Amino acid sequence: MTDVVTTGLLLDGLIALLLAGLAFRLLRTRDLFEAIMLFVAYGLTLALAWIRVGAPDIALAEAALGAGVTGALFLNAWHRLAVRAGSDDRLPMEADP
Amino acid sequence: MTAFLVGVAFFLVANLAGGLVRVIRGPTQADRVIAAQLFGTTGVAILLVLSVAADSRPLMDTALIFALLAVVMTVVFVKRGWVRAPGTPTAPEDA
Amino acid sequence: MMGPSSSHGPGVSSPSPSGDAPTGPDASSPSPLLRDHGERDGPPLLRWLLGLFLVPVGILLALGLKGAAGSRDPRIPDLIAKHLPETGVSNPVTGVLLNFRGYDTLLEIAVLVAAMVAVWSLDRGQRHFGLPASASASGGAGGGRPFLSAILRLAVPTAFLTAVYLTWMGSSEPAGAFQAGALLAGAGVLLSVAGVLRPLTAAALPVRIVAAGGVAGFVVTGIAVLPFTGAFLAYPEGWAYPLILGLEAALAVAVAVILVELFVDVPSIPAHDAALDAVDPYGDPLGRALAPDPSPADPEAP
Repeated sequence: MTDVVTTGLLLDGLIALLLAGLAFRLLRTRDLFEAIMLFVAYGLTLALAWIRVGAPDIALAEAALGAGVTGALFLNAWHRLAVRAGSDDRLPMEADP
Repeated sequence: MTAFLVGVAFFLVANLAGGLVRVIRGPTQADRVIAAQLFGTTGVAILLVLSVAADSRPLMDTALIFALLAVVMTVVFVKRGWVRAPGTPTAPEDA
Repeated sequence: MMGPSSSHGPGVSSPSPSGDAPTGPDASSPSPLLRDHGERDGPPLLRWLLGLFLVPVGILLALGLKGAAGSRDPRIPDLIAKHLPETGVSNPVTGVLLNFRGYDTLLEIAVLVAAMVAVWSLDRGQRHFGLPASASASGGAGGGRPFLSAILRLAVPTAFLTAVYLTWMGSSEPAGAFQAGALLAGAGVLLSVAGVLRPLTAAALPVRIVAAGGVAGFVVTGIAVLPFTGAFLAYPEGWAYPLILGLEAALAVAVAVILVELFVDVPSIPAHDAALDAVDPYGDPLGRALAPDPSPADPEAP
């Protein structure tokens, strides 16, 4: 039984460290695309953390909203910035070339 | 048995730390996306292992959501994100 | 597939007929919005001081959290457990969020609606909505893209099924409308990106009705129960479960539509307009930041 507790503590500590590392880099990076990817990774790791503290409701919401949909929204906005002002009239949702 | 499963989860989280290095170092956008996807797929594995360890169904639901929404982000990247952004190398040789 | 001759709105060049190669604007001028090279950083000493200042703040926050964890009223879990049967659901989180504190969830969905309205208001009338007729006629997911088509066939039905499951299970297991809505939105985003679903736009009346449906459902329900219970959103006995399930379903659909709407309706980045400077010198920060490029590259140019 103590084995479970010790391993569990190690697991929690590693998740916490990973979260701190992700957050630090996320704030420090100068590249917007990297920041988006770090944000998605952070959201997924945070969902794991919520599971570990026994809050599956929040873990579900974090995985679905925080990591999944927000990541797609950010990527979309990034795309909007990357294809420049000159292409204002691009259709928001055009079909494949 | 539970201790073993939690240990497996620990190993998988350690893999995520390796993925973090790839997200940070890139160098291409595709590298970063794939590394972020590693967080999704490994997250599924971690959740499934933990759900067996804790005998908990909500954890499996979370794993299902991880898997489903990871697809969304990848498809959005391929269709939307994969443009040559100013100053972003698209191939390692460009770096 | 669309031919190169298909016509779009004014000013849109025809897409190149080449395949799926990642064509994009060439790296002519690095945008400060996409990558910051540190030109506008403050002096290093100031940043170090700010960082040092954050250390005691963090310690204080940690101490505060530690104190708060111990001071929670120990009666709350018992109270919730005691009154849970009256909520009509067996999951305490859903019971609290949709019954005891129903207005909480009402305000949450109101925030989402407000976000959507804010995004709509960014539009400066420069956009052309909708797919070209030829694209929607081609059926989108069809020919030429077997991989995307296969992904859609797998992921979209699974996401729909899981969303229904999550809404249904919300009353007894950790799940709920917002999670289900996010999954539905994921399916909607997939369909939109693939060109199967016609983009939902602000102009479409159904979009407005469904998006407002979550808030409207809550308010109408809240007022409708007033004569029976005398309190806003206090469900009459025996009606709690069906009312909560109905509200959850309306919420899930509203959340999904709003999220897809936020995804589809990305405002265009307006070109810098000198005429606007006199009216609103701080307007258009994006247009200003992107303006310096003398020759805006056409991403679709072959």
